[in-house]
Amino acid sequence: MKNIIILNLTRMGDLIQSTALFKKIKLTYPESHVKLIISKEFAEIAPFLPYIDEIKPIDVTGLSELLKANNFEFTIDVVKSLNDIFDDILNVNYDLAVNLSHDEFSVYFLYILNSLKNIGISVNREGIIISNDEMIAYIFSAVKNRKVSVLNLVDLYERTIDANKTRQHKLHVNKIYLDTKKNSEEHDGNSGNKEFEVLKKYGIEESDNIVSFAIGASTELKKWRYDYFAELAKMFLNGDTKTKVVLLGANYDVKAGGFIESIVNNERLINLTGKTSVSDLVYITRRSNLLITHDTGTMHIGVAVGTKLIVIYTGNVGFLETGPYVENRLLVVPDIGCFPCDFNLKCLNPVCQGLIKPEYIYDMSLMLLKTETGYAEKLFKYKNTGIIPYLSRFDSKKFIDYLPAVKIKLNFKDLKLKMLKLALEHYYEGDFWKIDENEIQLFLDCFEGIEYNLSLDIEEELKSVETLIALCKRGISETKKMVNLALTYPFNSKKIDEHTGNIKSIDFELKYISSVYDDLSLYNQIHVINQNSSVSYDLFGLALDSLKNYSRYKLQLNIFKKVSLIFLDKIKNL
Amino acid sequence: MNNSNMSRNDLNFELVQTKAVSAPSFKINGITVHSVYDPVSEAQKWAAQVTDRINSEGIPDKILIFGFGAGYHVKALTDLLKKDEKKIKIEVIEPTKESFEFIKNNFDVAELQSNSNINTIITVLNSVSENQYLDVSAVSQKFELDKGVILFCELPSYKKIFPEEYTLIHKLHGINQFFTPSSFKVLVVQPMYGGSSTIGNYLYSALLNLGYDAKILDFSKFYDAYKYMGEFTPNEDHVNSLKQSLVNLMSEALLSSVFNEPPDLVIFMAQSPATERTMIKLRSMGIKTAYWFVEDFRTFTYWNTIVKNVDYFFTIQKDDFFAELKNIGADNYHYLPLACLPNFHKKITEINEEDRIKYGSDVSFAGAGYYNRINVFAQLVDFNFKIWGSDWYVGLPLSLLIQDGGKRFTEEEAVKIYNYSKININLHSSKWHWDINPNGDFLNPRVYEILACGGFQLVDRRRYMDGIFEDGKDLVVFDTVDDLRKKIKYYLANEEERLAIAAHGRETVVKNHTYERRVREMMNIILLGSYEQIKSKLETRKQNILELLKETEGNKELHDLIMQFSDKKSLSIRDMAERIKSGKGRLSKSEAMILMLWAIKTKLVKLEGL
Repeated sequence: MKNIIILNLTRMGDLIQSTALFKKIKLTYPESHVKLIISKEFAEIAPFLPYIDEIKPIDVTGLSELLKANNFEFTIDVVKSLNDIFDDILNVNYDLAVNLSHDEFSVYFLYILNSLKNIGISVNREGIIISNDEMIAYIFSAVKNRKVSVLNLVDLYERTIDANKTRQHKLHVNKIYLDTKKNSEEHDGNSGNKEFEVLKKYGIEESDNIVSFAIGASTELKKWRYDYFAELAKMFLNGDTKTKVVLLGANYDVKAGGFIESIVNNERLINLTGKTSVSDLVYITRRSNLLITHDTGTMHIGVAVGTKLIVIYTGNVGFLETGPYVENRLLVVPDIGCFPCDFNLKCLNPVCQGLIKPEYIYDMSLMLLKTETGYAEKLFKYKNTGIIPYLSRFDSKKFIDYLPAVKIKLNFKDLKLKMLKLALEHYYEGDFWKIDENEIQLFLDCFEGIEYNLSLDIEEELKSVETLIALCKRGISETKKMVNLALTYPFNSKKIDEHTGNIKSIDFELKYISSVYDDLSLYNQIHVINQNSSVSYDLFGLALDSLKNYSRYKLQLNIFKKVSLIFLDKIKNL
Repeated sequence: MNNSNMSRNDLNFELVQTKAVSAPSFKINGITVHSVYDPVSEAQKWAAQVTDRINSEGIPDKILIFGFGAGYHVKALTDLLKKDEKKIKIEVIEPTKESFEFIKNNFDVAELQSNSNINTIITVLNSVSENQYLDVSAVSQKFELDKGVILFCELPSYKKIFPEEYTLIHKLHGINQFFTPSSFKVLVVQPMYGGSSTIGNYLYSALLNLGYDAKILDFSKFYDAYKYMGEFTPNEDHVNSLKQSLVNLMSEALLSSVFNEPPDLVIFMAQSPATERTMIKLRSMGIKTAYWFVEDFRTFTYWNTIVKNVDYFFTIQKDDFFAELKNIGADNYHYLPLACLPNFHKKITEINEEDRIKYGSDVSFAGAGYYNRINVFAQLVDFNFKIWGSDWYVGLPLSLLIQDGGKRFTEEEAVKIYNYSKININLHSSKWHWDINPNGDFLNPRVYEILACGGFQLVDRRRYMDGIFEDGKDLVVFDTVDDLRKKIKYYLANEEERLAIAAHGRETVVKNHTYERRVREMMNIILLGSYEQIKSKLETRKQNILELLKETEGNKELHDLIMQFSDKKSLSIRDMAERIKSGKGRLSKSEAMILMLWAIKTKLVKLEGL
C-alpha cells in the first residue's frame, strides 16, 4: 500500500474517534502515505492528528453556499469550484480509500475517487446501500438501529483494517490520540510554548486545580441542567480556594455560559464559552485536573489527552456506541427505564436530567481527584439514588465495555444488549465457538436479581432465532442449487426465475420474522446490505455471493443463540 | 396598462425632395424617413451592414424589417442578396395603415412585391383593440416569429417614429429567439376548493401541452380542516382567525416548496393561499408572480390586497374593474378571459347508451343552485329538464329535476352532460337579480366548455360576448325567461339548425379560446413586461451550458452528461440527478459527482428546510 486516503467530513468527535484507525493503518502499512480529507470547519484540529502524512481540509459549507446561490443549477461557477476542491484529490491514484461515514455526500465522494480498494458504504444507481466490507455493513446497520448499536465506533473503525486475514492474534490499538506535544513544540521557536501562552491568556496558573465543565452538546436533550452546572461550580469553588472552574463551550453555548456565570458570581469561574479555538480547547482540556462533560467532541479530546473524566448522560445518547474510549472512566447515567430515549424521539419531559444531582457529581469528582483508581467500591453508595455510575474497561475481546458500579436488578434490555454485544464481538473477532463465559459471569456479577422472569422472554426470542436459522438453511440450499444451475444450465431462465423467486421469498420471511426484535433486525439489516452488495454480473457469482451471505447470517445467528443459551443457564442462578 | 393602437390618426405625412431628384423622401410627424441627400446610397450602406450580419451570424430563414418607408433599403438589400446569390425570404412590417396608404400613393411598392427571386412580403400591423397583449400572440403568429432563425433589422428612422410598435416587435422577436417553454419553470398554485381550482387544473394541463416545465401545488387536502374550523366556536371572528392561520400555514408550505425547487414564475389561482409575505418573498427571490382572478370582482373584493403584491394581475372583467384597479393605483392588470381545454372538452363520437340515458335530456343545466337560477328554472319544469350540481335547496316540483341527489358532478361528467343534452342552458349566477342579470359582463367557463364539447348552448346575454361569439351562429342568447322558453321550444323542434350552431360554435371556441391560447397570451404579457429580467435569466442559463460544454471538453464523461441536457437550456442538478437515477448500469464517476452535489441539497433540506 502506497497511497491511502481517508475521508472524514463529519464532526470533530468522529475525527478523534478515528485516530485509532489512523494508527492501525500506519502499523499495518508502515510505508504508506496517508492523506486525510476533513471539513474546513475542523481544520484547526488537523495539527493534533497523529499518524497522518497530509491533511486536506475541504470547504463543503462554501460549496453548499455556492449551490444555494446558484439555485442548485449546475453552473460554470459550480464546475470551477468542484475543480478547485477536488482536482488534486481526484488526480491521484490511491491503493486504498476509506470512508467511515454514511453521510450521502461522503458516500459519493468515495465513489469518485480513483482507488484500487474502497472501504466504506457505497450506493448503486437507485440509491440502495451496498458495502464491500463486513464491518462497514455492521456500522451502517447499527446507525440505522441505534437502540441496539452496542459496539463502540472506535473499535469498529479500527477493525475495518484487517491486520491479519486469519483473524487470529489480531493487533488492536485500543487508544485514541491527539498529538498535543508535537503541536505545542512546533511553536516553541519564536513565540514560546503555545500551550503555556494559551493557559496564561485565560488566567490559568500553574498552581491552579482546574475543573472544566463542557456544557454544550449537539441537542438539548443531551445536556445536563444549567442550574445544576452552576450548583456544582459553587461546590467546587467553595471547597478549595486553589480550584478554578472553567466553562467550555461553542458559540451557541455562550448564553448558557452567561447564565451559569451570573448564578455562580465568582471570579474563579472562567467562562470561556464561545471564546476558545479548537487548539485552545485541547490545551485547556489537557491542563484540566478533571473534565465534567457530556458525550461530545470535548469528551473525546479529554480521552485522547488523558484527562480524568466524568461523563453525564441524559436524553437520547447511548454510551455503548460513542462512550469514552479509555479504561477506568466514570459515566453517570440516569436510573430510569426510558433512558436512553429512542433516537427519533424528542422527549418533552426529560426528567432524567433532574435525576443526576450536582452533589453526586461533586462527591464523585472528589473521589476521582484524590486517586486514579480504587474508587469503584465507594460508588456502591449510589445504589437506588436515581443514578447508575458505570466504569469503562476493555473486555477480553479487546472491545471497550461499560459495567455498572452499583448492584442493580438485571432487566431485559440490558441483558439483551450484552448478549448481542458479546455475540457480535465473538463473530467479528473470529472466535466463533469459544464463548468467553468469564465475561458473562463478570457482567452478571454486577447485578442482583432480575426484574422478572426474563428466561421466558429469551426462550421466546430464541424460537424466532431457530426459525431464522432454518430459513438461512433454506437460503443456503436454494443458492447451492443456483450454483449448480450456473455450472450446468446457465441459460435455463425458467429455473433461474424459480430459484430467484424462492430466494426473494426467503429474504422476505427473514425480514418479516426478525422485525419483531431490534437485535434480530440488526442482523437482518446486515444481511440485506450484503445481499444488495454483490458485484458479480453472472449467475454463478451472484449465487456464490448469496450463498456466502446466508452462511454468514446463519453463523451470526448461531453465535447469538449460543451466547443466549449460556446467559439463559446462568441467570437461573441470579 | 400599456395600451397601443396601431391604427393612428395622429400621424401627418409630408413628401420631401432630396438632392437625388429621382429618389424622394418623406417625413412622418416631422421626422425624415430617408436621407435628404442621397437615400439610395444610404440604403446601400444599410443593406451592406445587413449582409455583413448575415455573413457573421449565418444565413437566416427570414429577414424581418421593421419599416418599409419608401422601400429604398429593401430594394438595396434584395439587389445585394441577388448579387450574392442568396435566396432569403424578406418580410417587411409597416406599422400603421395610414403610413402604408401614404407610401402606396406616393411610391412604387409593386415592383418590390413582384420580385420573383426573393419573396418579399409587406405586412401592415393589424390595429390593436383595447389590450394589445391579446393580439400580440396573433402578431407573433402572423410573422411566424417562432419559426426558424429570423434576422431582425429596422429602418432607423422608424425606430424613432414608432417607438412603441418597434419595441413590441423587437421584444417579440427576441422572445421567440431566446425563449423555449421547456426551459421555463412555472408553478401553478391552487386554492383549496372551488371553480378556480378546476381552471387551475386546465391551465396546468395547457402549460404542459405547450411544453412548459410546469408543476402544480394542490391544497385540496386542507379543505376538510378549513371547514372543520367552524366546529370549534360559533364566534365568527374566532373562526375567521383560525382559518387565516390555516391559510398562513399553507402559504408557508408553498414557500417551502418554492425554496426546494425555485420556479421562474408562480401563477396563483383565485383564492389560493397567497399571503402578502409569500408574494413579497417570492418577488425578492427574483421569481415572477402572476395572479389569475377568475372571480366576479363585485362579489369577491379581496383583489385589492392582492394586486399590489404581484407582478401581473389577470382578470376576467375589464371596464368597471379596471377603473377600480386604476383608482387604487395599480397598473399591472390585464384582461384574460376563460377558455376551454380541447383535449379534455371533447365531442363524444362513440355514443355510450348507458351514459346517454343517464346524462341525456332535452334540456340541461350543470352548476350550483344560485338564487337567480332557482327562480328561472322553476319556470322550466314542464320540459324534459335535468339539473346537475350542488346547493339546490329547492322544493317541489323543481326538486324532481335535481340529478344524483344534488351531488357535485365531476368534470368528466360535465363533458357527458354537455354532449348528451340537446340544449345546454347556461345562466350566469347572480345573488342580486331575480332572474337574469341585464348587465352581466364576463363569460363563465361553461360558455367555452359546452361549445368545445359540441353542445348547443342557450346563454343569457353578456356584454363580453360581442365580437367573441356570434348569437345564432355559435350559440343562442336569451334575454328573458319568456325568450328562453320560446327558444328552447324552437331549437328542440329544429334539430338541424341546432346542430349547425353547435358545430360552428365548437369550431370558433377551439380556434380562438383554448387554455393553450390563454397561456400564450399570459406569457406574452409576462415576457414583454419582464423582458430584460427573463431574457437575462434564460440567456445566462443558455450561456452557462455553452460555457460548461467548453469547460468540460477535457472530461468526456461529464461533457457527454451535460450534452444530454443541452436542449433544456438550463441545467438543474435536480433534473440531472433524476435522470441519472432513472438510468441503467454502473454509475459513472461524473454521475456520482452530480449525485454528490444533490446530496448537499438533501442535507440542507433536512438542516435548514431549504
